[in-house]
Amino acid sequence: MSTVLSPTSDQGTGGNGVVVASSGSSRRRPRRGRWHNSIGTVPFLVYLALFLGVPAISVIVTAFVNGSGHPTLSNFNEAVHGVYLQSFVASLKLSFGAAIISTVVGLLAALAVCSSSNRILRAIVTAGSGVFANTGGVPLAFSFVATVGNFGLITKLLSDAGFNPYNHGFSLYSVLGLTIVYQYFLIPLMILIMIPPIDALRKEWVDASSSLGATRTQFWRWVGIPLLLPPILAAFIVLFTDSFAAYATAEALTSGTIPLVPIQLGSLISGNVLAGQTNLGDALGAGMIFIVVVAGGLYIYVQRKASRWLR
Amino acid sequence: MERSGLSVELVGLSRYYKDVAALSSLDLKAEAGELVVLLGPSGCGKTTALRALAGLERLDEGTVSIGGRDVTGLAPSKRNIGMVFQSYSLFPNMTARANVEFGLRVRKMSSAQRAERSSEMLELVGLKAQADRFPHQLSGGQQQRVALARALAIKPEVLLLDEPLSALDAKVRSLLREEIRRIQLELGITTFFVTHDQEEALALADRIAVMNGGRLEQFGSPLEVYSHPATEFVAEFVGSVNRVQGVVGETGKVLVDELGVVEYHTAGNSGYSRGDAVEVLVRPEAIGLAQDPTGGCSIVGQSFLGASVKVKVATTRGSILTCELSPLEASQLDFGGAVSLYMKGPALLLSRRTGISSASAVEAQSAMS
Ligand SMILES: Nc1ncnc2c1ncn2[C@@H]1O[C@H](COP(=O)(O)OP(=O)(O)O)[C@@H](O)[C@H]1O
Ligand SMILES: [Mg+2]
Repeated sequence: MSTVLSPTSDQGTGGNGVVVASSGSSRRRPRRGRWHNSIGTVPFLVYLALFLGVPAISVIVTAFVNGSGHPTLSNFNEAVHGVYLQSFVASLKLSFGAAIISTVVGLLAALAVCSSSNRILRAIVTAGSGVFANTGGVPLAFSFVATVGNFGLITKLLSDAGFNPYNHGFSLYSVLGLTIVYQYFLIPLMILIMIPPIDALRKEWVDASSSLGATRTQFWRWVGIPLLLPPILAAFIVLFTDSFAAYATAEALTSGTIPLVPIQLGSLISGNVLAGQTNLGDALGAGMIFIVVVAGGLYIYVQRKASRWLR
Repeated sequence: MERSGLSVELVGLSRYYKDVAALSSLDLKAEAGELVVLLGPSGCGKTTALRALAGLERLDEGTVSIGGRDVTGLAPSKRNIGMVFQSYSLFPNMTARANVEFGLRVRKMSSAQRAERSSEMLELVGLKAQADRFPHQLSGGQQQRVALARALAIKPEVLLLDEPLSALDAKVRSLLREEIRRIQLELGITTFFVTHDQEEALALADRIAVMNGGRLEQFGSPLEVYSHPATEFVAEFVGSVNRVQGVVGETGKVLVDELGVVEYHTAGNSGYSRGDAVEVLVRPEAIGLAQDPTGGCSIVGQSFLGASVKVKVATTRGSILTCELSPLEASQLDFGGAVSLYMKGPALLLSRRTGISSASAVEAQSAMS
């Protein structure tokens, strides 16, 4: 498989020419299948139903009843007011900002890695990204506190140099702080997601475009970016939902001082508030499900628009 | 539509990858409007040569000129060269028409002109009806037709094709091969066509450049290359050969145990003198078979190839030779009976044999005179 960005890759036969294979496009999916063609997916569907479908439905159903089991909309009423509304706004801000930054930075990093002929660098980046993308919770929070926290090493060095970021509106324990902390696992995740589709860009496309007189910029404008757009959108949604649902890191870092939906939800469920609040928690959960479903729907819509050549 | 091509000259092209010479001092000149086939085994530097011509490959040494103009330092986008690759070179996010219009869009042609030109090109390659399909909705052969139309749309001065047919099945391959030749002649465009398939090379080329290990082995017409190979490599790569042992006799003759006195061309085989031990390369179709109860040779295998029949013959010397007969000749043979061999034409090539004892050489020599 020859690719645009890796100069060492051998040009040979083979390769399937599927550009956005990792983005779950609908290419080559059979329209109609006999039942036995899809029987292999049954265990997975059962798994989905048990561990995703049933909980989601029960969350949504109980969100519409009160503590004594009577139908009500008051849970939702509460969920979109006051501190809970704030938490939705803060969560959306955080995950949107974090996803945008990591999409851009991760994409550039993935392009750089793929265009390098250094195989060792590539192996290190891939393996490292695999590890960092799965880091979170207390260890991650601690490493940031120790470096850019109130009394962290870097904060100290900067203060000694006459610039204490905490005197200029920065705080690690804020939405901005979390946005930065989340980059630690989001950027590596973006790199991991984008390497395969970038690798799938073929060297022949670059060569053909330059022999047809196109500049590098024209190639990217008319070919490269249109082909990478669907996987980029897919990755953005993944990063968005990943940070929207992240709980452990935020909890460890801010111990609930910033109202984020997962944290509010956590405290409602763990029952250190009044009994009967679990129905409110379910309403928050239903809200989260709603947002993720909207994001997913948006993704499918844009993806279809962006990859119409695959059908 | 009518235009005359430009001559293309490659002088001393060299390209090294670490210590591997992908090209070493390659010289080649294509006349205006000529179709030159670069032929050679995989890894012999054909693609490197073509990419160097297109400006896609950096050269360590050498110059490329098109129409007498030195373009060595010129970027690929400035060379006005059309290129077709082995496969998967169409932009997958564009329809056939948009692919063909790509180079025109780069040249800022108006959309009406683009549409006209792309229709003309798609018609030329017989794909007008498929203009609005995306590449994955086209067959391999159709994709290559679009790639050809795209390369020709920009009215290139030179057309380069790198194994454009090798991913296609046999039927489509020979059909498209003829069509490429038709279009090339119609446009009169100077063309380089890369292949590792000798049959394709013989069928298409005005001249064939046979390459091996980054070097040019021979550059000549298909007939020259086939009938008068300059080297053993060419003899074996273009067509097939039998190798038999022989001893040089009087001028232009060599004595071969299995075949008797065999003639050879002294022009292409100079430097041999009487008594030299040689290997003699003989084409299968140069050997004839005769029914001969005293012949001592027997037929040990045959395969019917349609237009000819390949016959394997065990000789009195214990060697096995391959002969190629017409079906008519073959039908007149009793395959179970003894046969003898004779030469229908001269040997293809001699090659020096080392390690033979001079005694047997002298013996053979005296047997001849
Ligand atoms: N990018 C590269 N890096 C290292 N070696 C290469 C590269 N491209 C080609 N080569 C080597 O150069 C030689 C010629 O390659 P190529 O021109 O592709 O041959 P062909 O097209 O005749 O099969 C081969 O030995 C190949 O391995
Ligand atoms: Mg090649």
